[in-house]
Order: sequence, then C-alpha cells, then structure tokens
Amino acid sequence: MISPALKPWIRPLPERLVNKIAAGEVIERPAAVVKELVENSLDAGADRIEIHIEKSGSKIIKIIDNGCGISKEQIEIAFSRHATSKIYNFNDLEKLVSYGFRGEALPSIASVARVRMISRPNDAELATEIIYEGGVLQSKQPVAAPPGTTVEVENLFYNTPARRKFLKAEITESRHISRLVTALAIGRYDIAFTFIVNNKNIFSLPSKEKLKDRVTALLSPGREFIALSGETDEVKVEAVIGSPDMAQSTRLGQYIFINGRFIYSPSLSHAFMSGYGELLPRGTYPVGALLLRVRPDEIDVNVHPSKTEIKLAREKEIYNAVHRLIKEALRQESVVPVFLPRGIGPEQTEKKNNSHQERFPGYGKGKIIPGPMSRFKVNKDFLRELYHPSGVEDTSLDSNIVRVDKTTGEIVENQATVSFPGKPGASLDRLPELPRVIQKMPAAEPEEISLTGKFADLYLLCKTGDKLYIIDQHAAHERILYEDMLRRLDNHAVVAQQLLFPVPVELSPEQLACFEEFMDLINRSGFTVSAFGGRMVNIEAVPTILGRKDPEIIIRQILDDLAALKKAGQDIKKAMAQSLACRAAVMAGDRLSDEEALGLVRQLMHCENPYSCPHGRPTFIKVSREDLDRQFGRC
Amino acid sequence: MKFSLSKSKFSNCLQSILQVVPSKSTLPILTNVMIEALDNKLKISATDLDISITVNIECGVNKKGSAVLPAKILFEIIRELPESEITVEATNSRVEIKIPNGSYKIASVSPEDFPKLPAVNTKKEIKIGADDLVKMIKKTTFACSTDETRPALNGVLWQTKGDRMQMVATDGHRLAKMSVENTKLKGMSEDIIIPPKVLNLVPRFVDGGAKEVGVIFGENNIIFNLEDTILTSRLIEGPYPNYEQVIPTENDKKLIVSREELSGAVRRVSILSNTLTHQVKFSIQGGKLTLSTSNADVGGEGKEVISCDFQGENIEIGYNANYVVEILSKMDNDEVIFELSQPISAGVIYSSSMPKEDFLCLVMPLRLAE
Repeated sequence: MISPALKPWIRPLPERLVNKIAAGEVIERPAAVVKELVENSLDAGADRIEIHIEKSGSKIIKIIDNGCGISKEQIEIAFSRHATSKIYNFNDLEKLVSYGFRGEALPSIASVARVRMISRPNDAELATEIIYEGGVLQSKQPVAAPPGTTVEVENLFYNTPARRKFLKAEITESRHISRLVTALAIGRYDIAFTFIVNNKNIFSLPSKEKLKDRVTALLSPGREFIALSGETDEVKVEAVIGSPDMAQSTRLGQYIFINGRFIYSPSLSHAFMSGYGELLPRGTYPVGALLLRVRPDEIDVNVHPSKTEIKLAREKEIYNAVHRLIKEALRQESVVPVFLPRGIGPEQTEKKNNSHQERFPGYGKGKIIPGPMSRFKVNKDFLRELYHPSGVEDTSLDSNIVRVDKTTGEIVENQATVSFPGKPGASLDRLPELPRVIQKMPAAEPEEISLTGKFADLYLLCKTGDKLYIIDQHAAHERILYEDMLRRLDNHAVVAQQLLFPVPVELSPEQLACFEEFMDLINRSGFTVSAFGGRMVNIEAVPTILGRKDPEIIIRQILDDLAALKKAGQDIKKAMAQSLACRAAVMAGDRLSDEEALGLVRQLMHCENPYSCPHGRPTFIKVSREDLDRQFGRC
Repeated sequence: MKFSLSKSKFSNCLQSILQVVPSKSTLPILTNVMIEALDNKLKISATDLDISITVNIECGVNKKGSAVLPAKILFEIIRELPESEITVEATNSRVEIKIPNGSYKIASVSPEDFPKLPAVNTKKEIKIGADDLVKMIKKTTFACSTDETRPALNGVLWQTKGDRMQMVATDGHRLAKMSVENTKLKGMSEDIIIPPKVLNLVPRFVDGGAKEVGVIFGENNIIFNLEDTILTSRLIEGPYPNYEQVIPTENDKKLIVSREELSGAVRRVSILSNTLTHQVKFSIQGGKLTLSTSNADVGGEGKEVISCDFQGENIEIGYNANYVVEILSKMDNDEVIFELSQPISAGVIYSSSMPKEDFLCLVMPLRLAE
C-alpha cells in the first residue's frame, strides 16, 4: 500500500516533457531532423535549399531556404506543439497536399537540441532570430537577413543521453542523411539543392532540372537511364529507371515517391522489380526513381509520425500500373529480348494456381510467381511468399539432413547422409520441388568423383558410385573463392594487381559514405582506392582474383554489397569476402573446359562447407539411383 | 555466270577467305561467300560485318555474273576434289560445279542480300614496309585486353606522326609499344584503334610476298591492300587512354639479364605459383636475381637464382609470371633490360638490341602480400 502522500497523481505532463517524448518518435536520428526541416522549407515554397551537415548531424544541421518565411508574430507559435499552417480541420487531412501537418517537428527538435531560427517573410524589412535550447525560449530579436528561413540545429540529443548513445557510428548516420538528401533532391527535381558535409560540397544541383538529368547525376553519373511516364485513372507515373545491368544487390538504389513524399513501400518496390521480369539477374534490384501522383484522398500518410510508410486506397491498381509501365518501357527500349516463363502471364487465372496447389500441397508455391495482373489480395502475405517461398524447409522430410542458414550459408545442423527427399505418391509428371535441404556428400575421396557432363553452361553433372550430383558452377566457385578470400583477409595475404591506368570513379553520395566507412577494409582487400576530392575516388590496384573486370563497376558493386550486408547485420569481413567471391566467380553461361570443371568440383569438396554458396543457395543437389527408379515407377 | 580455274587455286583462295567467315551468326547470310565473275578475274568476298575480305584471282570467265554460296560447304567440296580444271556455272538459282567425271549443285542465295563491302579509295593509300608492319603487329597485339567493358583497350592504337608510326596495346596490366620510321607518311597525323583480329590476319597474307603493303586510314574503317587481297575492318571508337604519361622515364634501378635464362626460370618456378595470381617474386640483390613462389593449396615452393647485372638499391617485386614470360617472348635479343623503381610502380622492359624508343613493354607488379 502506498502512503497517501506518495500516491501518484494523474495529471497532464508538462509540455516540455511531451515534446521530448514526441521527439523520440519523430526525431529518431539526425536524418529525421534533416527531413522535417527540408520538408518545412518545401512547404514554405522555397526553390533553393542548402543543407549543411557537420559530424553527421550531431554537431550541426543547418538548412537555408528562400521560402516564404515566418513573421515575427508567428515565429513563437511555430515552436508550440501541434501548431501548423498546413491543415485546419480533419477534412483537410483527407486531401493533404503539403509534406508536414502534424505540427510536431519544430517543437520536438527544439526540445532535444539548441535551435536557432532566422526567418524573414518577403514583405518584412527585418528578420527575426529566435533561439530555443532544450525546448526553452532563450532569446528573440530582430536581425538583418535575406528573405527566407535558416534553421540551425546544434548539439542534437545533447539532453537525451540515451538516444545519443543509440545513434550508430557517425558514418552510418551520415549514410542515412546522404540517402535522405538524395531522395529529397530527386523527389523535388525542380528545386535547387546544395548539400555540404563537413564543409565539403557533395552536390549542387540547379533548379528546374529534368528528372532524368537529376537521377543520372545523383545515382550513376555517366550511365544511360530510361525516362518514362504514364497515367491511369488511379495514378500518374513519372519515372527514370536504370537498365537491367545497373541492378544492385540491394533496394538502396530505388527511390519511390508518392505525391512528392519519399516512402518505403515493399509492394511498389516489388512492382518496380517485377516490371523487369526476367531481365534482372536473381537477387538484384533495379535502380531508379518512381514518382507517383495519386488523388490526395486516396492516400493515408498518417500511419507513422515519420510518414515513410503510407496506406494506399487502391494499391492493387497502382501496383499493376507501375508494373505494366516499366515492362512496356523496357520492351520498347529492347534492352534484352523479353522472356516470359509459363505461369507469369496475366492469363494464368487464380483458380488454376489454387487448384495446382491443392493437388500438390507444399510444392511449387514458391516457383509460380503470381501474375501481378490477376492476384493481389493480401499484399503482405503475397510479398512474404515472394521473398521467402514456402515449402523450402519442409520438415516432413527425413530428419537426416544438413540444414543451411539461408542468409549466411553456414551449416546449422550437420547430420548423416540420406536418400533423396522424394515424397511417396509424388506425381510423375512433375518432379517435386527440391527443398532447401542438402544432403551431405559422402566422405568419398574427391578423386573418385568423375565428370559426366555439363548442362546449360551452368550445371556440372558428376558422379561417385551410384549417386549423381548436379553442381551449380557459379555457386560452387563462389564458395571456393569465399573461403580462400576469408583466409587471405585473415592472413593479410590478398594479392593485388597494380593498374597501369588508375581509374577515377565518381561515387554516389551513399557509395561515398560507405567508402569512407570501410576504406581500411577495402584497402586491405587488395584494392588501393584513395579519396580524390568531392565524390571522386581513384582506383590504383585491384585484387588479382577479379582478373580484368572493370574496376569501376566492381568497386560500385562492392560498395553497394557492403552497405547492404552491413545493414543485414553481417560481419563486415565476411561481407567483403562474399562480395569479392561473387564478383570473381565464373558466371552462369561461362563455358568451362572438362579439366576446369573437374578442378572446380575437387576444390569444392575440399571446402569447409561445400554445401552452399556464401549467400546460402545450395552448391549442388544429389540424385540417387533409387530416386530415379522411383520417378520412373520402377520400384 | 560461268568460269573455270584449277582446283588448287580455288581451294587456296577459299581457305584464306574462310578465316573471316563466322561459323555461326545471327545473320545467316554471313556464313556465305560472294563470288563475282568479272573480266578475266574472279572476286570472292566474305564478311562478318566487322572484318571483310576480298580476294581477286585471275581465271577464265565465259560469262559474267555473281552468286552467293555457303562458304564451308563450298570449301569442303573443292578441297576434296582431285586436282583438275573446275568449271563453275550458274543456272537459275543454283550453281553447278563441274568436274570431268561428275558435278555438284548448290543453291545460291540472292547476291542482292549480301552486305555491301566498304569501297576502296586508293587515293588516300599510304605505303608501308611489309616487314615493319608485321613486326609491329606481332610485338603488340598480345597485350590487348579481352574484357569487353573497356572497348578501346580491346584494340591496338596505331599512331602516325611526322615520319614515325607506332602501335600500342595494353590491357591495363601491361603494355607493348613498337615504333618504326616511315618516310612516306607525308606528315600524316592519325590515331586509330584497330581490332587485333584483323591485324593478326595481315601477316598470313604478306608472308614472304610483297615488300610493301598499302594501307588506307578511313573515317570508320581501315583497309589493307595486300596485292590480290583486300582486308577491311571497322575501327574501335576511342578515346584511347593517355599511355604516354604512364611510361616511366625516371626508373632508377636497372636489371640486365639473359632472356633465355630468365624466361626458363620464371616458367619453371611459376608451375608452383598460385593458379589464380601466378605470382612470382623477383628479389634482386647485387648480382643475383632470386625467383621464388609458394602455393599453399598444394603445399609447394619453388626457387631459382640466376646471375644478373644490377644497378640500384635492392628490391623485391612481384609479377604475374604469365605477363613476364609473354613479354620476354617478344624480345629479339638474348639480353633484356628491366628498368624498375618501386614495388608498386610500372617496370620498363626492352631488349639491348633495340632501343626502348623503338620497342618497349611495361608490366605492372602484383603487390606482394605482407
């Protein structure tokens, strides 16, 4: 029993505390401050915005715009919670056209930093300077300044040590900011953006640019992008997309906007990718920018304070429109002949798919990519299905199996060999889908293995005794190189080929941030890459395992890989080995001589984990005599 | 069309043409040869759209005309025939090959469908010593890149300036440059990039024959006028990297060594080198050059010491053995000179019989692991 004197009173929280709590939601990290402030500038009608960042935003974030400014009577109100000039009643929320509306940003930021705002409306003679510290007004005075608003945020999170502690490494935060600013500059390509980090000019983009020029300048200078646009009843699309060979191993090269707002949408990202169909190598994602316009009342941005997640009233129609438009554009560009495997086309009806699954429960679900035109019911499940096909870990199979972790490719359990996991009663007209469980190869001497053939310049057919192994040459080589590379990284024994002509490369802001973060690792991995000023780096040496592959393409891919794998929580050294191995390995379609093929198989057998490539795909599958007999109904 | 000529003459001619005919192509007509019977001569052409060849041979023509025939089949028939006079006659859409005791008929494709070959304007032709041309080709094309991401490096740069001309090839790891004098250039100044495939064909047509060959530097193509044969190739678009600035001029260490000895030792030692890097370490100390390698995969190690003449501070430097062996095979004399500087900078290699201004190779080292 608590004594009456100590009995907690229920009472409203003081406003300063409310703001500080709200800051926790809205102001997750420095990038969020940049976002809120730049969106305020945009809402203020600025056409020229300058962004200064120091120490990845923890020291200074400064936004200078030439927008409409705030009068001296209003400036204090701007710092009070839920004060906004952008909506007046709930109905306005239904047809929102401005970026901000919650009226939370400024007070939230002001409660966790020192904020100085200088603002002058066009018609005023003097600007007003107002300073807040920890949510408390410090001073307010007239000063001379050009029209527009400057907001300077200093010592962010100085009074919330917990949050400050949770910030990632400076360089990670600065990568978030880079991506965000890139997004803002793409979303509003009509506006002049200047981005300065630690007094270094990262980019200065003119106003009234074309979307294509801006995307090219920001994402991949010098490469050819495809511009496209189209309109349906539901959505107006303007997009600039990269050719399939520019695809990256992450979605970080994708910038998707709805009504000017940079959003995260797995479904639209998927529509973007699916438009490429078979043109994309597996596990890669196209790069580019999608700018969609929908009627403001068909979009709900009030899902989360940071507004990066949205709800669309007509998601299915929009998905289809994006998918079709990209597909059409690529077909017209005729990048590569289009190949549509069976089961992808719109004519495939839902009924057919369902009945198929009824007949073969557990099989083939992951194999049949649902026709985007025909089915888009429960989008979340649908997407999960696409990314993680079910049935790959069918536990009804024999228990004597080796399990492989899908993300790391490491063996999880290690047990004895078993027979082919064919299901009794499986249909004869269709081989059961091979599950993602792999039999351990018998402890046979590698010399006993012989090559019986090659198929499709990708699969090597080998046998030992009465077992047939089908080996994926790329996955196998990747595994071999990966283990070799890890050893070499550990022993500092990566051999580097010096280049006669050093290769200058202009990195994207994100790649630059990643390069700065991992420069040491990159230079220990056989590269000699040095910063060259601005976004330029200079490649003077490359790891020999990469042969004569274009250093520029390789370094970009590796930076993208590192960023993605780091994000996925992967050990960074392994990530490097994985990326290098993937780039250096023989590809599907590379023709190997018999000697090379057999050499590859033998080396694979010597690997610590020969069962899967570093990404977790199997390197080989095994088919026994009995399995075949069963398939042919001989037993 | 009707003409006759000896089997051997026809067969030899087809054999040289066949080097240009693609064995398979997305444009099936390219697997054919075009035969044109003109006044007392036969003109046989083939193209893969990059390279074209035309061979002229004298022969008796009874009736002018043209036909387009499948190259490989035609050649195989002619090659297998016994030596005799062969008569070829076109009737309707077929061509009949008549020999004393039989005949073969092949359907002809319409000559209009055969791609037009570039016209030869001999006014712009310059004359080049056949020996010089062949030498330049044989000493440079090996260094071309095969990686298709940097197209300019897939070709040989041919530069003419003043009364000198030179060919340069590089793949970014090594470079070869051969320069010769030519007084007939008349101040011509051109930089063109030529696919090595056509260059490698040239020596086969000049071997032992002509003293001089005609060359026409066209806008988009290059034409070699080799007496009876005309070879044309499209050019590769530049720009070619500025190779001059990467040729070191102040390498302070000088190694003089026997080519035979070095080449043999590198070849042997490299058997035990890593199969990926082919790295062999050169350790030079006083008058001794030690070549060594190790390979963890097979648990092997190799080492040889050869004597040399060396000026400068001791140095350890790694090379891809294949690059070194290949470059050494292009040197004329038994004495070769390496000019070196740092373990990470380009080495200059030339032979003592030819000044480096005439022929030199560069090779970039492999950075030695710690």
